[in-house]
Amino acid sequence: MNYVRFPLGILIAVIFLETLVRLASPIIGPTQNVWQIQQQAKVIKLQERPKNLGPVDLVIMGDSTAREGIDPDALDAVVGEGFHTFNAALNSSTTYTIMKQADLVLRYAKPRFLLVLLGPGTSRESDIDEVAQTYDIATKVGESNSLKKFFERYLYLYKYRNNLRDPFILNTFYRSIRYQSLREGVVYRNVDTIKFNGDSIFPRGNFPFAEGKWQLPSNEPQGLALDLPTATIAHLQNLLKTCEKTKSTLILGTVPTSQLNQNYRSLVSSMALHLGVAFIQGNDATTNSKNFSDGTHLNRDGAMILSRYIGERIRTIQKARE
Amino acid sequence: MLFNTLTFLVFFVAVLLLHWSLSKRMQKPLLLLTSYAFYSFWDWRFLFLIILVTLANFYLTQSIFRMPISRKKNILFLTLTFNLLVLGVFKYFDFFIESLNSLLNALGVAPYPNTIEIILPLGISFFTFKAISYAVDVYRKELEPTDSLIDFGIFLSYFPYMLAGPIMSAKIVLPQLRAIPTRLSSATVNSALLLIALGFFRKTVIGDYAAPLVDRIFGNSTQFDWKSLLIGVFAFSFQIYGDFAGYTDMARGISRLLGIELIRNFREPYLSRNITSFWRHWHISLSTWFKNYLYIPLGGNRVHFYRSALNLMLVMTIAGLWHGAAVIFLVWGMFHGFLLVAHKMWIRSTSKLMLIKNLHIPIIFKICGTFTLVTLGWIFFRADSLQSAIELIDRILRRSTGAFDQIDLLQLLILIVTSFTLDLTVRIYRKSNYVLGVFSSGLVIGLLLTMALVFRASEIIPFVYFQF
Repeated sequence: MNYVRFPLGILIAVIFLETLVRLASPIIGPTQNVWQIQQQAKVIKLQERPKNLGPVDLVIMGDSTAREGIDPDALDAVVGEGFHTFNAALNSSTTYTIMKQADLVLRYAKPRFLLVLLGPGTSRESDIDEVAQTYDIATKVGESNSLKKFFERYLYLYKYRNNLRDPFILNTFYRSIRYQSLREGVVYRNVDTIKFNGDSIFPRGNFPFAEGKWQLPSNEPQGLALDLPTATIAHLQNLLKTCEKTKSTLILGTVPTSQLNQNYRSLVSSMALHLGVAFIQGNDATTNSKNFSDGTHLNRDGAMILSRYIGERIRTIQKARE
Repeated sequence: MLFNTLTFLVFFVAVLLLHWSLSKRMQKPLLLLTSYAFYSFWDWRFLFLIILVTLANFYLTQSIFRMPISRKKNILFLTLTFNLLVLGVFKYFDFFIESLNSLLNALGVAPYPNTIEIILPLGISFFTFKAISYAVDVYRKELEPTDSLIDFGIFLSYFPYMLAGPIMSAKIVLPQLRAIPTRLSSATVNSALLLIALGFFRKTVIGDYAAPLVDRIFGNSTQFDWKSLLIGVFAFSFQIYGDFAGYTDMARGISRLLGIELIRNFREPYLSRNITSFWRHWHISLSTWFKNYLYIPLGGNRVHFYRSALNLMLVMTIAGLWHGAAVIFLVWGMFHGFLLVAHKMWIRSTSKLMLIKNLHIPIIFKICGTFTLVTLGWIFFRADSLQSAIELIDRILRRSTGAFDQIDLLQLLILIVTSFTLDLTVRIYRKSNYVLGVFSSGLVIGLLLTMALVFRASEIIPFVYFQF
């Protein structure tokens, strides 16, 4: 009998919690998807930008490597006084979401320059179609595991896990009442963690990733047969059309990473050549592991180096344009 | 291999199935082998060190028992020297060289040879202390040494407590090893599973939940304002408690399923009304060890008050150093030594002064006061260096503003409510002597595990006490 009663107790506990979350779900708000929430929060921040700060000159797009790797203040200081950068890069971005977000920001902010920074994960077109298909329906972009999808659809405990883990859940309630919208409540909570230049209010860590652990060659790998990713190229061509309308200059660039596959360095430069747009090889800014906080993301020192490096190139491009 | 990983779950289920399917004769060799295998997951090279410590202590303590009284002391001295040498070389060598170099630099003398930068073997402080207590117990004739090398090997390296305690006494472990039960009652299994679920809940919902907040604030302490720093400091109190108590609960549950009972290491320490009571409820196995093998031999409470106070300071300073080879741990130990002495003096004065004797302090203030003092001490425990600890305290006291004033008060409130509610529930349950039935156990375990899985951080966060 014990063999039945014990698992029955566990089952009832799970059903009880699941019911509780289902009942509470209307007041918890929409399920939190890292990318969607951040995207909206950044757009809102851009909209809330005080008029006296002036128009945005440069918008940076990319994934977490660009989000962590660019300090807009350091970049602006190099380009010159009155130059304003907005870092719109987001965690968990894919090539598809970068292009969609870039198009949105471009139409709204009409910046002079749009810099799309691509890394090993975002320069290739791998699973781009799958992401595109699931983008509108999936609550988390990029989830391809069928078991996870099943949980996501039928188990509210799983579906709302990000909301439940959220330390600011009470804060979210407060904001939902203040803004009289559940959706806005969640998004605004995130808006408050972003500065007017798109940077996070949380400081970057500066723990070096074991100095000398790896040192990558700063030269581009030679002799590689590169097939340009057609879907990415198509997206970039669409972006170019939008840039024509907004009178913006599209620039492609790379972000330094420790990943051993360095093909993307040549891949992105080839794409820039193909499209006839300016290119910044961010990989040349630093290759030393001490400037990274982990194997992929730059730390505070690394971000300063890359930001200054890109700032100098933007200044050159700006002069050439003038 | 951490208790809160899927790898450990697979490993433990395999061990459990083998343990209960094997004959009684084979159970112990299996326990020893699995303990060594468990340790090898971290670094197999240090297995040789554990085997060396096991063999040396086994034969040396046998000699202590057999030798005539006149020579017992010498062998004990040799055993203690060996264990302290192992601990000294692997844990404290670099610290002493660095301290010596600082001193020589200050005196204007050329520095001594460089540090050796040796890796700290996991759990070294725990297994050497167990070995020391075993030798002393045999010397005091409080324990007869075991004739079984396997039993002794398990005592030193039993995987549930090997890496972060509790520091079990051989007087408790060896008799249990001689009589491992043939089967477990359903009540024992229920209570063991309940402990594992409770530990997992403490670790993930309290410890791991606080970890990112603590890391962010302590990692950039100069950039946060004083309120954020204060929140970070209090959050660390809950992190270390949830983390360490969670580990111990899991260790006790795991061991109970193998038929071996481990002692309680925590008894709701944050509900303590004074600092002396706190140390009777926090890391009980370590404070008991220091009491039995250092404080009492130094004279305990039998000596003059001031001598006893001095001994207390000394013991707590060494206890601080036990946690890590760094000045901050030394200061942390001294801070607690000072608090214990101050409390001792307070008790002494209340017995003499009628005015203080009649002073009634509400229990809630006593609990909050003790908790605040303990939290203040944790700053030294968590900070990267003494300088950053002092800077952090200074910034709080000066009410400094910072570039960042992100107040995570809600996160701290969630931690306070969860941790204290859990402790109060556990205390009421323990004192009521009520035993949960099979269905109720399943219900509680289901609730704890489901919540732990939902609140689980996306990455596995190691246990804080593994570094000691």
